[in-house]
Amino acid sequence: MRFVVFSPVVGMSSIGRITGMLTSHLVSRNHEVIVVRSEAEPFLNEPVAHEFGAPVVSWRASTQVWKAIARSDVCLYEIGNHYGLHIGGLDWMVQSPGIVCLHDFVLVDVFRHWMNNHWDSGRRVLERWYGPEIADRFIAEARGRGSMELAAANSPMTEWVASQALAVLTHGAWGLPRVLASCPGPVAVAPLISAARVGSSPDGAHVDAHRRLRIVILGTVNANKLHQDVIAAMGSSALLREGCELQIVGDAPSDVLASLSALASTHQVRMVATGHVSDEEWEHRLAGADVVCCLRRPAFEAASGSLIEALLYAKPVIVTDAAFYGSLPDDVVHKVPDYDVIDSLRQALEDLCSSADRRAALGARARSYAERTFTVKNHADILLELATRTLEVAPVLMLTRQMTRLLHDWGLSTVAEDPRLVGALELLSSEVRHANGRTPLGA
Amino acid sequence: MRIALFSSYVPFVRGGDRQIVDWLATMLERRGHDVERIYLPSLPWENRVLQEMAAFRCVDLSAADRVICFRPPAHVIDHPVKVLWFIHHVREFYDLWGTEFSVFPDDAAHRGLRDRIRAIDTSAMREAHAVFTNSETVTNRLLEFNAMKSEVLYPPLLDPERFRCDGFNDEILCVGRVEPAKRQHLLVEALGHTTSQVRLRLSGVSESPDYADHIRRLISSQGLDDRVHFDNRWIDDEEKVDQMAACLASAYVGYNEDSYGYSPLEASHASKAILTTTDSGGVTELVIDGYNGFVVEPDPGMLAERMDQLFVDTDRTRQMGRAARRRVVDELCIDWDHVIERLLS
Amino acid sequence: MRILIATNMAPFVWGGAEELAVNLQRHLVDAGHDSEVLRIPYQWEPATGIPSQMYLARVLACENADRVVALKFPAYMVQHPHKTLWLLHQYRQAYDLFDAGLSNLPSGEAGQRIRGAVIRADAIAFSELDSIYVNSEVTQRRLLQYNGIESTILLPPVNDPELFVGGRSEGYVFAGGRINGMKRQRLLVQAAARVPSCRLVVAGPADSPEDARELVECVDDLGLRDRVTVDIRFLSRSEYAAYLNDAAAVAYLPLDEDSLGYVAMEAATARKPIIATSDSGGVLGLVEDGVTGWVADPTIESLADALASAVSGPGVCESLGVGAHDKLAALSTSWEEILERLLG
Repeated sequence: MRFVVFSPVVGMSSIGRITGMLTSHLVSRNHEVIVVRSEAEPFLNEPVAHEFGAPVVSWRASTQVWKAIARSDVCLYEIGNHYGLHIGGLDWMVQSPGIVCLHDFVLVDVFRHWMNNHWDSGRRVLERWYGPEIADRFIAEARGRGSMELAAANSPMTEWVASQALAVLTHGAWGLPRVLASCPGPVAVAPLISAARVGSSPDGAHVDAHRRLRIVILGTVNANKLHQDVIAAMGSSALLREGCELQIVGDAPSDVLASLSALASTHQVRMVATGHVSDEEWEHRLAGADVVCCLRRPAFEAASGSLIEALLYAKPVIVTDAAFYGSLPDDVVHKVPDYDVIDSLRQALEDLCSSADRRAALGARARSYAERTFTVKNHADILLELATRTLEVAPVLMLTRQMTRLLHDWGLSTVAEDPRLVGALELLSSEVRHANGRTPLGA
Repeated sequence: MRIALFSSYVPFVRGGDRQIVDWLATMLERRGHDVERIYLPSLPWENRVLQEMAAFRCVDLSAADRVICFRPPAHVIDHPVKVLWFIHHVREFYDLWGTEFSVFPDDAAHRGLRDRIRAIDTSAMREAHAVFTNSETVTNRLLEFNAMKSEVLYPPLLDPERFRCDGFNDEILCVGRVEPAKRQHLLVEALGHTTSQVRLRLSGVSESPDYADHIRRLISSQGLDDRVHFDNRWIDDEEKVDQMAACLASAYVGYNEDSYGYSPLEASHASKAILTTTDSGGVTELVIDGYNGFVVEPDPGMLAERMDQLFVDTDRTRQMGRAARRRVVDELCIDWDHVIERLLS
Repeated sequence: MRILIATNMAPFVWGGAEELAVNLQRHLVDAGHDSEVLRIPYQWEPATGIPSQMYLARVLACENADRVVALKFPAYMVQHPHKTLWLLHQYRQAYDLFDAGLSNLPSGEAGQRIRGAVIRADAIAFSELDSIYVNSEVTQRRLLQYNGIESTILLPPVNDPELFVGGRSEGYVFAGGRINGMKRQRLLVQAAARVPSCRLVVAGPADSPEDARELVECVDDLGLRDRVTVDIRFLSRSEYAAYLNDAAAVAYLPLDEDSLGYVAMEAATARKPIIATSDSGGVLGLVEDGVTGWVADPTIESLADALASAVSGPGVCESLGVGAHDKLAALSTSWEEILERLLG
């Protein structure tokens, strides 16, 4: 199969990194790939930082992009919640509909930036999917430069992108209802590809009797990672206060770190904060962890790259029982509910910190699961199967759009207004069944 | 009954499957039915084929008690009593795929379209009250590609009583358009290998000047000018009937055709044996070697042997002619009573 | 040139418009062109399905033609770079019949949406045309009023004038054409009941079995079997012409007809006077009281008077018949000119 893949290519994009793994893998299996880099300036000027195994052109080079499309079977759009990295994909998916790989179910940030240049369409999109009330609230929150938490809850903007796609590929099942309700074509879930260098991870952390157990939280410090709850949980247990230390690894503004520090002091919890670390240091810290906390409230990502890394490193991980994390098998991570967090966390931490065997066993199951699941081959297999299904349905979806445009010229809004046209599309979609028995009508 | 005959056509291109519809209409009207013929244009290029199917699905013929559909995409119409007399698929998406005659690149996108079209065709066929085809070849394709069972219903001639046998002269008659696919050149080459004084008549017009020239040169170069009659003009019905009535036997050697067309049927009604080739396709469903004619390899030498045999062994030739008539009238029941009984059942 | 005549059809219905298409084709072929008639099935019930019927027209592949001459809605929506419209029928249910409350469009928003769709689709189709001709003043007026489109009247001639030779009258009044409520054959029969000397022949296909039954019952209930002949079936042209040629006069009183009406034109060709009513619409373009026939009020009494006059003797009919013939000749366009206009 011949793909045109729209993706960021710069260093800071983890999506770029794993897309590079995917395209290299596809090329090794004799598929053809052309990559179209999708960033805005200044990212567009940065060099290609990942290995794609394929030629890379800019999304702004229209002629080249159209040529690539003409020579390919299908377009693949890697989309995440960052406007500056994905603007090219959003632009081209309208002109050349294709498969969208959704890395984030919540696309509030990217939509908000896109809307700055498309006010009227943006409002129409909001009203279409969420109604005028929520549309107003969204716009108010956006103008107020707020955190968009409410917006994320009520209007995640998943439908906005999914409805423009011929098909959607995503990494977790939890956000699927909105995708299924808005994408007219096939939908599939493929495991996120992990970029971790599997095999270089040491087995467990060597525990020397005098060392405190290291409880590690990885990643940019965000309120949704619940650092405060972890501190409070540790502070409420003598075992944890005396036997463990909390390591916070990742970027954080100094005032945030200061306040966490103060909180740790109050609870008599030993805390170490690294601030920004290099990739090597990151891996070193991960390798040296005894327990990893991957808590999220609310969860934005379809799947978590750092979680998968932790699993591949055979770490016992504590997660919130929700979203992507909740969809993992119960025996490879330790789940805590997202209410009464502090109490549940304390219990979970005490459980794991009191037994090296329990930690090792959970870690082993975690690694085994991750090695089987989060591989580029698995991902590619599911993508190829989805692409085949998409190519069968695409002509009908394009015809539906064409028909709808004609009806718009006549002042009608959807095909559904004429039962005979609905019947015609039903015949053309016959024998096509997507997830949950849906057929590609509507949308 | 009110019966609608629904088919597609290509505007301003003559021929192509209209006789079957027109003749059926005439015969149904003679039996007192109200018949309406509907032809809608279809040019199924890859960027139009699906929208044509959608459009044809919107056609409403509910005023008819029954609809009989012929050429695709007529078969997608929505009607409670839909009968298909299926002549052929859009073959580019079926048996021609991936062959030397393929028009589409065999890439993933085109395969997707192809598979969708086959799925739609299958669904539309499943809705039918009954499915008939005009040859075993097409019946086999429906089974292979659409998993559909169908009954072969050979299209009869209009007023076959016109065809009579007046006797047997020394000419083997080939009626039909003179073009490469019909391979009249094989017959001329074969005549050059014959040892008897058997003659050949090619009755039909050629729309391919190069091919007509080729035929003429073949005739001359083999010194057969006085043994081959090639007029290159349109032969009207009356003349055709007269030629059939007088000829020794008929020949039909076109390459790999789905169905046998009307010529061998005309010859059969005129009680004349049929000479054909193993790779002619549909006509081999009609002709049984040695019974109502000969079926030989498309080789001039072998054809020549049979041509001589037809000329020399006149008793056998007449016998096979009688068998040809028996085969279409009694054995295969290629007549309107049978056809109409099946279509209206 | 290859000229495709695009029109619509309802299965098993054949009338004047169908004859026109076939005759137009015949004249095109006689003039040396290659011409085909494309008859697209059109179902307007239920009205919610009308967008699909417009879609059907938009999709059909007509590119092999050099020019398309379209006659009806929605056939004139076929896509082609060189299209001429000779409008016989719009979708009146969205226009004048809608205003008159006689539309099949559902009431409320659903009906409004379909009506809107027809109006917009019409506007698009009309903008694609090289030239726009209509078959009558009435159609011209409506097109201007409802669609803002100016058009030229091009009167369709009688399809086969050589059949309508006229001749000696056998003394009966002939009512030809399709039999249905709008054509008001029953009103005519009721009027004939008042005129004991009037013999009437009503002949033609009924639109539905109910229409046929109602007419027959009307004749029976009034006890008119002995002087009113009812011949309900599709007549061949020669059968129809025979009825017309032997008549004293021809009665044609449709309610608000679009155009002159073929029955009236055929009568005029045969030099037969025409009985119509004041609400017959476009027919009055040909029927002038005292000149080419009689224009009665649409009442039994008034029609009875007209019938009585028509059967009173050959004298009055002959001069009115000549008047009708001459008036039609003045209004008529030759096929030669028609072809010139349509292909120009």
